[in-house]
Amino acid sequence: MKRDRLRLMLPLLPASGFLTLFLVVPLLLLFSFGFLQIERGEVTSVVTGATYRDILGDPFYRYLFGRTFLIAVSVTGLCLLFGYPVAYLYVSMRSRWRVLILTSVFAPLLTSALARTFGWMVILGNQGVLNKTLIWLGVLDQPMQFLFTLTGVMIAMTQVLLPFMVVPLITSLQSIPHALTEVAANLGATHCQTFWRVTVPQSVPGIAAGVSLVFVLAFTEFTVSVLMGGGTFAVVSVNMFEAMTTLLDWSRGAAIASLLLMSSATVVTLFNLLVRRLTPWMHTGR
Amino acid sequence: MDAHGPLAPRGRQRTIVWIDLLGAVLLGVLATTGIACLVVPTLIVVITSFDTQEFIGFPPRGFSLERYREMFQSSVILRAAQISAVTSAFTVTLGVALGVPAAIALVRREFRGKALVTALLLSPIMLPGIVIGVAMLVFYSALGLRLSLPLLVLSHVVFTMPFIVRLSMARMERIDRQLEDAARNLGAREWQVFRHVVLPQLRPGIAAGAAFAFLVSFDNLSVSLFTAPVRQRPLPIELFYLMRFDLDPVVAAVAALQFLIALCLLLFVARKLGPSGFMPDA
Amino acid sequence: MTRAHWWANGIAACALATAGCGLFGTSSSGSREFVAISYGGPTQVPHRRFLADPFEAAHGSVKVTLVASESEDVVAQIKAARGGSPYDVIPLGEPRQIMAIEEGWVERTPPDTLPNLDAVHPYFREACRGHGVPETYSLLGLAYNPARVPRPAAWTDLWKPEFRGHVGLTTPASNLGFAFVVLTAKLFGGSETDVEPAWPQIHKLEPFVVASNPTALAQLFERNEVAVAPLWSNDAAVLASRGLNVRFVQPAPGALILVSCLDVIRATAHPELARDYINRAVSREYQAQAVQAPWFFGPTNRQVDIPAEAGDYLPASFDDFSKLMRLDWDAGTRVRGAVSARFNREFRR
Repeated sequence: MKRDRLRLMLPLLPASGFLTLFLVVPLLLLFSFGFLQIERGEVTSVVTGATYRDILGDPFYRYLFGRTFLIAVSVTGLCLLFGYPVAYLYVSMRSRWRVLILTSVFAPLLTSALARTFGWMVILGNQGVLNKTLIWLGVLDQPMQFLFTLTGVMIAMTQVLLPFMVVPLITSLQSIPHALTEVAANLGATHCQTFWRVTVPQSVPGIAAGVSLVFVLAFTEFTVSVLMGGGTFAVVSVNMFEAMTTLLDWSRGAAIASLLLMSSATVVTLFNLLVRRLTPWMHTGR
Repeated sequence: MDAHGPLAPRGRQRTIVWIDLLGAVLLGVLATTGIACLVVPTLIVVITSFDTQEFIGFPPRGFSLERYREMFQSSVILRAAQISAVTSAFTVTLGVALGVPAAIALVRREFRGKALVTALLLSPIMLPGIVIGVAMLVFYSALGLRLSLPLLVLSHVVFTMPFIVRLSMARMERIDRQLEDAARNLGAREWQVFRHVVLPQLRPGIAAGAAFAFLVSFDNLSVSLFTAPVRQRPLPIELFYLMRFDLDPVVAAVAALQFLIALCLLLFVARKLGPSGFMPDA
Repeated sequence: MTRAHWWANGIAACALATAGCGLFGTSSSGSREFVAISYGGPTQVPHRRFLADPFEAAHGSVKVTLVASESEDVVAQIKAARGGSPYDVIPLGEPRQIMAIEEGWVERTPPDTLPNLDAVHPYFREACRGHGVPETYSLLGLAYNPARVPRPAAWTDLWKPEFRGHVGLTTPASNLGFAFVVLTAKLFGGSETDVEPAWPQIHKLEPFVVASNPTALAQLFERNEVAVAPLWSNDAAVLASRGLNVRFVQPAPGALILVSCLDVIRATAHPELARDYINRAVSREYQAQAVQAPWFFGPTNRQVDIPAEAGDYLPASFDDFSKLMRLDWDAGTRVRGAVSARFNREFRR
């Protein structure tokens, strides 16, 4: 019996062993590193709560986490605002159009995040595509500053993360039985009513998955923030990068990373609990 | 009009039509903006890569392959690309070796704690790359190891393996068990069943997972930033510093070429899998 | 799978393994790689062409890799790498030089290994404090775009309304940004140790763009994001040479001079090579090239003449040095960490 069990588990051992050693152990180490005092890569004192206390007691870090949270929430909201219509369009189109939409969703995933940031720098610059278009249209009479502003970073971040919202939404929208919307229409519901009362509630799992994923990615986003935010753009990930690489304060960096991970996990867990509570119809046994 | 049913009173009907129309227009506008937003930056990068201006700008002033020539003459970029390619190739090889057996076992076997193991194997997808990177750096340094390419490969396996596991599992779930039973009844040994029945059917899933893992690894910045050896920087790190310092237009050429290669890889997988293969759970 | 497939896979695997071994093994075998930190962007050209290339030619099997760096990342990596250093030589501006000497990771190079140092003006030798060589100097002045803003005559002109909304700065993580904060403090009644007066004054410059390093700041002129900024003479000269409408002024009461030292990193695996490399950096041959357009790297070697077209960017002769401002970097370095942290909080965005 015991040997059978072992044989059963054998193919799983390498993979789970690997991830335990190279993911679980490092993460535990990361949490504990925040309690060490490290100077120039050498541990000088063991177990001090000072680093965590410093960070948690510092109003700057409270501001930093609050701000990063707000940016992540706004970007997630924007992704949902634009991503849902794209996914909805996808499922209501015929297959030739579907390929086109799918390609456009995957195109950014194929272009490296660095390259897309580069693209946005060309678009959002003072002499960039957006400003030139707006001036040509007469909306602006002189260029508006987008680069190195919160607006610019959020625009780029939304685009970079949009595919991660669209993919789970498409999956979820596709699984809605066609009969449901037909019944609604036959009962005299307008398209709008069907959309809000049938389609949206039925796609809650997709929304929850997309929102969770995009939130985590936005909350910890680094590339766009550091390249498009300018020298003093304040978000947690950039601050952590600076602590690790330029200040060489590893215990602080580790502590910030741990707090980043814990706070994003907490937010996502609370969000999913909330979704469960608010949409009981999704979870009652059918 | 009749589609709205006889129940709606006539006076309200017109408003309803208007609301529907407004909804449709709003939806269309949002969706079009969304799609345009998705495609435009990539297009801009491709267009900029052929520009003749000495610094980046728009609209382009001419057409030339100067930036591509510059790219192929830059030993730094070529070396970085080579480092990235080799790192990603080893990452995928190791990821497949570890991930595919696990995926098969997770689909075909029942045991206590299966949910936990599945969660462990898929968890890196939901973990922020930058945290994984810092954790790995701390881990290696605690072990007293100096950063090197083998360590970089191991770090990349951590966050790419879940894609291989997930896509292989998705494929495995669709494979007909009866075929295997038939082979067994005909006297095939266990490894023969695997080799001649399971593997050929599973291969598209592995290919998709491997291709995806390769792309994710090749494009990774957040983990490499902390775990790449200083003297052997992979391409994304090199591009990152190029962009951070002087937004060298050669970046556009590298990015455009990388996009083209990735597109080919994706089309290759699409042919193997059919379009439905893109959607992990469809 | 067909036989052909097996062959194809086998060949691919072998190719992969060979490529991998080649890469993984580079650090231990083959030609010696010499890694020199250099400047970012086009200002790297003189290092490559007139220093690294002749150096490679003289040493045969040595290959020089130049790594662009102006941020503290590289310094952090050197300090973090236990044992061997990933780099061999590094240019450091005065404030960094002082810190590096204190932290003890640059070599006190024996003068007898640096024969070219004899031709270097003592003014510069002093600045490097017996570590490395004074490779060049740059002036910190104001770069501006004459098409968009008037010519600033004095540092304090920056606060005039004509320049509002056109100003670019860098973070004090770079020498440029740090020097500007200290300079502002001094202009408004502070000093190297008392930078407090700088903060309200810099706030008065808002809205401004903050770049993460000088090269990135220079780039912002190209894209018209800024029209006036404190900038190094070399970066401004390179911009102008590209046909951009950018001029450089040495504002009253004077431009600020910063000496750049080229140091041997203590943990280098090639100390002899490194010493030869920095010795070449103060040679007449190298500096006579680096001082030419479009770079105008200030020569420290007395035998090198300053070309006439360098007028805006460099003082005409060593006698004119009295007109330049110098900061007391010993005092400045002590407040640097605090200045950097304060700046990031004051101007967080």
